[in-house]
This record gives sequence, C-alpha cells and structure tokens, in this order.
Amino acid sequence: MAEKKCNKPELLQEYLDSHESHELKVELDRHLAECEVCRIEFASYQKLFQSLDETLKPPVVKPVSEQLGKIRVALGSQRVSTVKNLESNLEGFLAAFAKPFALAFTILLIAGLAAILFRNRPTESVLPDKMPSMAQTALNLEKNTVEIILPGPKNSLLIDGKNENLDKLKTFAGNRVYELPAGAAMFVYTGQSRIKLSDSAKFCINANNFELLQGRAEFKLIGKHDDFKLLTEFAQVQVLGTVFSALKSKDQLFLRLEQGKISIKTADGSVMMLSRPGQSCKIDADGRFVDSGEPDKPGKTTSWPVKNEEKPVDHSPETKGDSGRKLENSF
Amino acid sequence: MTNNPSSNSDNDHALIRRLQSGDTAAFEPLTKKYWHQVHFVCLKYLRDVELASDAAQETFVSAFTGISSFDLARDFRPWLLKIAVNKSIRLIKKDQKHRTLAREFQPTKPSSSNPSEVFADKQLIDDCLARLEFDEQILFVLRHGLDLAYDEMALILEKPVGSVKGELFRARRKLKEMLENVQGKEVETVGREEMQ
Repeated sequence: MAEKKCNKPELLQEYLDSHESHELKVELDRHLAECEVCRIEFASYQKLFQSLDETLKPPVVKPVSEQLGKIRVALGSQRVSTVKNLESNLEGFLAAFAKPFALAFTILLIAGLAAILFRNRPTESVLPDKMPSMAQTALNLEKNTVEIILPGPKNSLLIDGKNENLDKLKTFAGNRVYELPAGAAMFVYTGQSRIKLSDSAKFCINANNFELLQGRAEFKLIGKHDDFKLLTEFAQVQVLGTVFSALKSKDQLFLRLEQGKISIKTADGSVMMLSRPGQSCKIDADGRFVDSGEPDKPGKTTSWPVKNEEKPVDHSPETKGDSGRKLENSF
Repeated sequence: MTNNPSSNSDNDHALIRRLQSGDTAAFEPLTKKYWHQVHFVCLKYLRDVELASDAAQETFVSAFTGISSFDLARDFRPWLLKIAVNKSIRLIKKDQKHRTLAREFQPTKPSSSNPSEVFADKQLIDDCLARLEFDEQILFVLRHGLDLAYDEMALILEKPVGSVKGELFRARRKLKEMLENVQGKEVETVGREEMQ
C-alpha cells in the first residue's frame, strides 16, 4: 500500500507560528478534512510548540547597577572625548593669539595641509602622522562615528544618491553607499589606525569590513584587525597588520603594499599574498591577477597610474592617465 | 508576540528619539526592558554566563553609540538582537570550543512511557535541542524563545525569509523525529525487559 503523503506539509507549522491566524485556520480546517497525515501530526505539533515556547522562554535577568554604569560611562565618554579634542585644540590657539589672527592662521593651516596632501606625489605615503587640528566629529570603524573630514569643493557626501551635508553627518550606517565629491578627502580614524579616502571614493563602511566601489582608499591599520576585510567587486583583502593602498576603477583593482602583509582572494578563487614593501598587483574584472608588481628600487617612481597635474576633472571618454579621477583609460 | 506591539514600538521610539537628541538618560529604560532578551541570545551563542553578560553590555553600548543611524520606521528589538548576534558570533570566532558543545549532550530517558507525552517532556526536548546543529538551535531560540516573526528572524540572521522558514520547518521535523525515536527505543527496551 502506498504511503500517504501530505501535499501541504508546511501548513501545520505555519498555522501554529501564526498565533492562530483566522485565514490560516480556515485553510487548515479544510486541509485536515482531507489529509490523514496532518490529522495525526497536528496534536503532536501542538504539544511540541507549546513545550518549545515554555522550555525556551528567556529567564528574567535584569542588568545590575555595575553593568548599567559601564554603559552610561561608555556613552558619556564618547560624547566627552569628541568635545574635549575640539575644545582643547581651540583653546590652545585662542590662548596664544587674538581671535582674528587665530582664525586666519587656522584657515592657512588647513589650506596648507590640503595643498600638501593633494599634491601629486605618488612616491610618498600620503598618510600624515598627526591629525589636522580642526577635528570635527569622530569616525571609528568599529563604533561607526565620524572623526575628521577635510572638505573639498563642497562640504557634502552623496548617500545612496542623495546629497547630504557633512556637518550634519554623525555616523556612517552599515550597508549604505557613500560617495565623496571630486576634490574631497576623508580620514577614517579608529584608535591609531586610519583610512584615507580620496579620488571620488565610493564606499560602504560596516563594523569589520570596508567595501570600496570606486576611487582610492589608503589603509594604515595598527594592532589587531583579524576580522577586518577590504571588499571589492574583484577581490577581497584580508589585513595582516599593514599599510597599503587600493585603487578601484570600473574594470580593475590596483593594490600596493607599503608595510606589513596583505592576503588577497580574488573573485575567481585565486589567492596571493603581498609581503614586501612596494609590492603591488592588479586584478581585472574577472577576478584574475593581471600583473604582479615587484618592489620599487630606491628612487624609482611607483607603479601608481600617473596623475595629470593641474588639470580640471575631465569626464570625456578621451581622457587618459588621469589617475584617481577618471580611470577607464589609465591602464 | 507582545500584547500591544504598536504601543510597545511607540514607547521604544519615544525613548530612541530622546537618545538621538542627546538625552543619554533614555538608555536606561531601554536597557532594562531588553536586557534579558539580549542576554538570552548571547548566552545561547556563547554558553557562558560571564561572556554573555559582557556581550550583552557591548551590544547595548554599540546600539546606543550608533543610535543616530537608527531608522525610526523600523522596530528596535530585531535591530538590537541583530547586534547581539553579531557580537556573539565575533566572540565565538575567537574561541572555537563553543562550536563543539552542541554534540556533547546525551538525551535522558523520557519521563513517561506514553508516546503522546513525549512532546510535553521539557527535559527531553531540551536535551534533544542540544543535539541539533548550532544554527538549528538558534532558529528555535529566536522563534520560540523570543517570539520573533519570520521576517524579523531573517533580518537578524541575514537570510531570505523563505530560507529561514524552510530551515525552521526542517529543524522542527528533525526534532520531532528525534523525540519519536527516543520514545521508540524506550518502548522496545521495556518490551525486552518484559519478555525476560
């Protein structure tokens, strides 16, 4: 005799999960009238569900004062440290100089830093050791708050396609796409580690990974970052204690190691490690390693795409060699 | 499900709005309200009371320091529990021993020889749950322990709703079969003893 089978094996469980939905009840009653299997099973499942609800009910556990205190302190210290950094830097300037002079000096300082950082010097690391003094709000990759921004032509970010003023941005939300305007740079700080974004970088920041969709990101990660990954369309990079750069264009990813080691796994499953300072590699849109750069000899220019100097951004298809701004024709 | 989900959500959002506007005192009522659920999830993942307390504390710190990015159009509880799960998973990765605990339990004998009572035997159910795969156990915790809906579970586990439902239904069938098999062995043993 053929074993009887149910044609709606999920209906019993769906109904019991629904907290007795009327619609499902009607459907279930109709089904039970026709299905002997479910008629036998229904009582068992009812008891099982009830037992599971009772067995797995969470015990009433309340936070103790010490735990509440630690949360309170963590919340308070985050607000205080951000305000204190800003206050102490400003106090230093204002105490030494008259206000108008301090303001002029500050503007010159920012302009000078911007000139130094944005000048085309591909052979040098562009990660400063000291933070510019006008810190704004704090971005910590793990805690996800903004620390410092160097504005470009516009003090704004594109967030999922919409223009947002940087002054109002308090945190980066996970899984959202942000895009820097042309000419802007942004620093992401977490402890002593930092990431510099530039060249119209388009990115997502989550708790332990950073996704680069286009543009330039330079990384200096100090301390333990076992879980941190750089994700791109063509490859993912595991950090092993490191300073490195990534330049992502529409059809290529360029990686260069400055210090430490990185491990790269491409979309086609190949794995490579960069372990010598100056070593670099390119990965194409199919996730294949195209070229493996050797460390530069002393005095030799790096293998970063050459940037046209003092040219405005040109988005026409004929533009060549404009690294970081228009990359389609630069390799 | 909570008795009045709409007003419950409104209460949470009122407190969250206060936090977002800088009133940090609002963290305390939210913490007290959800601590036992967050702690429960962390404990199920970590199986260590002290680690679970630390993970729960870190969960609330992360949630409140990132509260300005919370979208008031969504429910707070599944968002908070997702943070708890992610924190716990990160801690598990640091300590691989937690992965093996699922297989260490042996089921006790059913307290009753009546086949229909095996599904009401909570101790037996607890033992059989412990023998399931870790991911299956978590489905039961979220659905039966915390009374989360399928879409809320999907958000927390970062899986499609269809996958969550399918996995949950299969896990329940598996548990049911385990219970029926235990019952079957007990009946067979009793039968053999009677024959001697």
